[in-house]
Amino acid sequence: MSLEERKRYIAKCPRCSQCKWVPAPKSQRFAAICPSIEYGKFHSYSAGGKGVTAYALAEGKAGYSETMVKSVYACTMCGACDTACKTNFGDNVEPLDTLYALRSHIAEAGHGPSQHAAIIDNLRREGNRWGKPRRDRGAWADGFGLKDITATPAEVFLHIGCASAYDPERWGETRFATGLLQRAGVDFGIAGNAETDCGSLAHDLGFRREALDFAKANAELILASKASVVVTLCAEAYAAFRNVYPRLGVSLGDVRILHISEYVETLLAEGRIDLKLAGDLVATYHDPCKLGRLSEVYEPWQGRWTQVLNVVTVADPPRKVLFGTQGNYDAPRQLMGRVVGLSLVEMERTREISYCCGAGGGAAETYPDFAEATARDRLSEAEATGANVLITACSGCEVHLRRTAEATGSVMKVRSLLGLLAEAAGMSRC
Amino acid sequence: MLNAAALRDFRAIVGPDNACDDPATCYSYGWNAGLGGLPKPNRLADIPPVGIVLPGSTEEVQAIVLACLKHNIRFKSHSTGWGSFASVASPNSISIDLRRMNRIEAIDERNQMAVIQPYVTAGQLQAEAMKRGLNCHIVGAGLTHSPLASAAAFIGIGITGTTTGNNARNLLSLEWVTPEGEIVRIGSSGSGAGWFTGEGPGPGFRGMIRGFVGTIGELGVFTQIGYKLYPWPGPKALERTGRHPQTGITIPEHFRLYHMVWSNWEGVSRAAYDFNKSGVAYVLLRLPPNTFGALLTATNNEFHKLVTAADAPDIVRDTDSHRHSWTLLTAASSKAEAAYKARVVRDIIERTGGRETTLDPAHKELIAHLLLTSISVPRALRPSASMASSFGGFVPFAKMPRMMEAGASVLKDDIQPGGDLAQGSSEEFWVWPNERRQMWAENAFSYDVNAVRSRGAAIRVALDQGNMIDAASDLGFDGFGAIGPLADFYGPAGNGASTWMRRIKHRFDPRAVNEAAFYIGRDLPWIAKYWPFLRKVLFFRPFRPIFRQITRVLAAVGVGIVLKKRRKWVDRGAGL
Repeated sequence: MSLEERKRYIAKCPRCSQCKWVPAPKSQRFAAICPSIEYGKFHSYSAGGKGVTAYALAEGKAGYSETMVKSVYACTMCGACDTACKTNFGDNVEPLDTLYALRSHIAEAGHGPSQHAAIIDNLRREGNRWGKPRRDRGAWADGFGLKDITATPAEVFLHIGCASAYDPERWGETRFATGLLQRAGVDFGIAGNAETDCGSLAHDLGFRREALDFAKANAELILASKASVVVTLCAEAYAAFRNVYPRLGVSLGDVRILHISEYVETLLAEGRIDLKLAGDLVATYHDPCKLGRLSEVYEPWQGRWTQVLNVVTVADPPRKVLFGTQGNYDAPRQLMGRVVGLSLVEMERTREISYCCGAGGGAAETYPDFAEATARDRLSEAEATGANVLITACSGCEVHLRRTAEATGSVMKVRSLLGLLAEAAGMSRC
Repeated sequence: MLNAAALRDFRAIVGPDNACDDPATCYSYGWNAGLGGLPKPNRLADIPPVGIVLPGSTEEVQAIVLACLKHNIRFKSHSTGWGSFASVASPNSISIDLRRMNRIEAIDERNQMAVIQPYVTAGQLQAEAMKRGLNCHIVGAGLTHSPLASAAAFIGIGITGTTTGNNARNLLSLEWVTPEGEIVRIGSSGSGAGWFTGEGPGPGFRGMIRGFVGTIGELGVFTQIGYKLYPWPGPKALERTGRHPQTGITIPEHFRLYHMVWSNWEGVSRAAYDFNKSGVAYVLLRLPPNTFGALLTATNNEFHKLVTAADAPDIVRDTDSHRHSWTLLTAASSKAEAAYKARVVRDIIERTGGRETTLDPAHKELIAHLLLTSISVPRALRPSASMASSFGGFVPFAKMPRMMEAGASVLKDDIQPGGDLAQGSSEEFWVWPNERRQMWAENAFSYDVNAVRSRGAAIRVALDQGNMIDAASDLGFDGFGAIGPLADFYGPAGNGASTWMRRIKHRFDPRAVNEAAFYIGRDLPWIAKYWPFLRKVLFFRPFRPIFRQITRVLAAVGVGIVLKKRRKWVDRGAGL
């Protein structure tokens, strides 16, 4: 949607500032929901402020400046503003859609942060943000004899994702996941070097065309495999398949999309594996934005807005409104609940009002001080629970939170859910 | 943009990262969210601030004000910034965004008060207060509003007003940076005795610089206040139920929610006296059925479906059997107290000829959440995206039937099918008691801010409301009608309030460096001089079609056009 089209939504902003705060705070300390305004302070960093910026841009009243670009891009695109706004305003404003349109507008005009050019170049060239060689994507699976789904059909398409494929430190848990599926007798295959980036980052940065190219490539790969289920290890891809691709008009048909946490939970529910830690662990869980509120299934809507009761605007036909509640929140918790020796204590901001880790939306690459400040905030919330381990189910969150914890001397040990499960299953050395 | 010297000065005061004159950043503070005093109908303000400065302390605020005086720049303070009230409306103005001043300095449990800075939100304060067995007043803007801004500078009474009073009543001692850059502590803090009272010991002129309506950021900057808190017999934290955004609460032990109806307003009014006298109500609120429809739904589609359904729940039905209602929440700290309150409520219902209605359990939880936190009050804005208020206030409950009738008559043409305002309930009155005494009533109608016809109707109705109240003193006073230019229209009936407001403004802001769009201008607007005559013409029945056209033109060009001349006078007077 263009900025011009977004104006009717922006125009409904009552300027209530709900986009800055959790709907019903439990404390003053953790009442904020928007990392961007916490960092930038000026109203222009909030979703409401970005909306006004978009409006001013569309009306030709404001031009581009370094300050303006920073207010738009020192933002993790975590969608918390959207969830908060919908506390009272339903689909009137939908700030996240405006943020997507605003970034797209800026990127198309060539005014985005300079760092993005290198990221996009890497994505175009090698199919991953770091520019690592395509030919190395499947290296983690060398010698394991896993089925190549591009050659042989399988019931389950195991989507690995960039981080799990390229980061050797992560290969253990990637192999744990495949080992689990093998033990459960699941008919699955991987795409190896044929897999490519999901397009989520390109979409977040405002590069719609590139995002669309990735969406089409992945859809083609998945549909050609004839798999009925895609199980992904990557939270970002999970959000892309369920939410971004429908926005881009790319369909995965009837293929079911599951995150590994959901799939493993199903297997464990069938009693196929025991999970036990060597000692007791008090942990808290960070809901990744991409696995949570940003993963809600988006349903394209081709209707019109009409007025009833004189001036009340309604969608005709009615449309699905995303409130952030239908993300994957339960499966990770259920999994952790199965681990003997693990006690879970919740942070104040969880599930649909989870506070972002700071890594998303290109923030870590573009404004690292902002990304780190956000992570520090999240780590302090984790520390306030009394836990000493922070578990998360997104590689991006995990790496960023871990690095920040190490850099800032936080007592919090950051772990991936999959890694923890591997340890509990006695398979950490897969 | 700011001149370079001014920006340099501001940055020297607050640090380079906390002052900005980037045009897009400035525009983000220029959002026209209502009918108000802003110059243009467009949502994007015609006159954005030329700079934004974020002080971190009272001393920095003072230095900023002095720099404004030095550079002939106007200023207006800005806390959480609900609607447009914190916006500037004059050229060469900066916004002093108080975001960095966000500390709860103290919560004094034994003396039931807090000391807070401007950017503490009601939601934050309530969460912290409840942990200590206390609660705070929250206006209809909901959890995101600034209690300091509300208490120190704006009219408003939250729906818990029977227990928690109103904005003006919750202000204790306060710290003020005057438009001339002086730091003044008013009330007990002025003599170093703490923040417990706004009068004395210490200089006591709280009433003069606050009044009842408030100065809306246009008479200096309030930087810290003592704020009343109230006993809270509930749990340390509310236990949320349901699913966002339809979030309710588990109704705390010893609390009980009632929705009751009577056959006429006389019955509702009699019951109000009894509820007030008995003191059983923690919250007592009457909402229009249509508004309940908005509050109980998450989207406009759901709202429309609910209020037009043949089997709509009683609470959203605007019929004689359902609209005469009270929603009441009792709160007790023991089983015996709860039982006593239940007996009293039953007795009052019976004595006044009412009946309790049955609510859907999920609705009950949602309504309880609303009543205790005001979380979903802003939801009433959702259907048309804009709402205006008010009508009458602070009159005895005996006036309730007359008030309702008057409200219905003002709205009746525009809320019919095909009208220019949202088809709502017949009178759209929100009613509740203030401190167990007077009736506060807001005639809150919804309009489409993006449609000229609807905006014109809203202007017309707002003027009609003011005119009706002006002509009928038994309807109390139009609280929101004392804001901006309306103060000069209706001020004379308020014992010359606008004249006094203007004198105060002149005295404390002699150089007119503090914005004056919503409070009062230095000089009488030209239209106010002719208002006694214009009013006779405009509200003369045969002239209604002309009145209608005039309000549409105003809606199209912006009410600011009538203020333009005023701004010129202000500029001249201030030497700007």
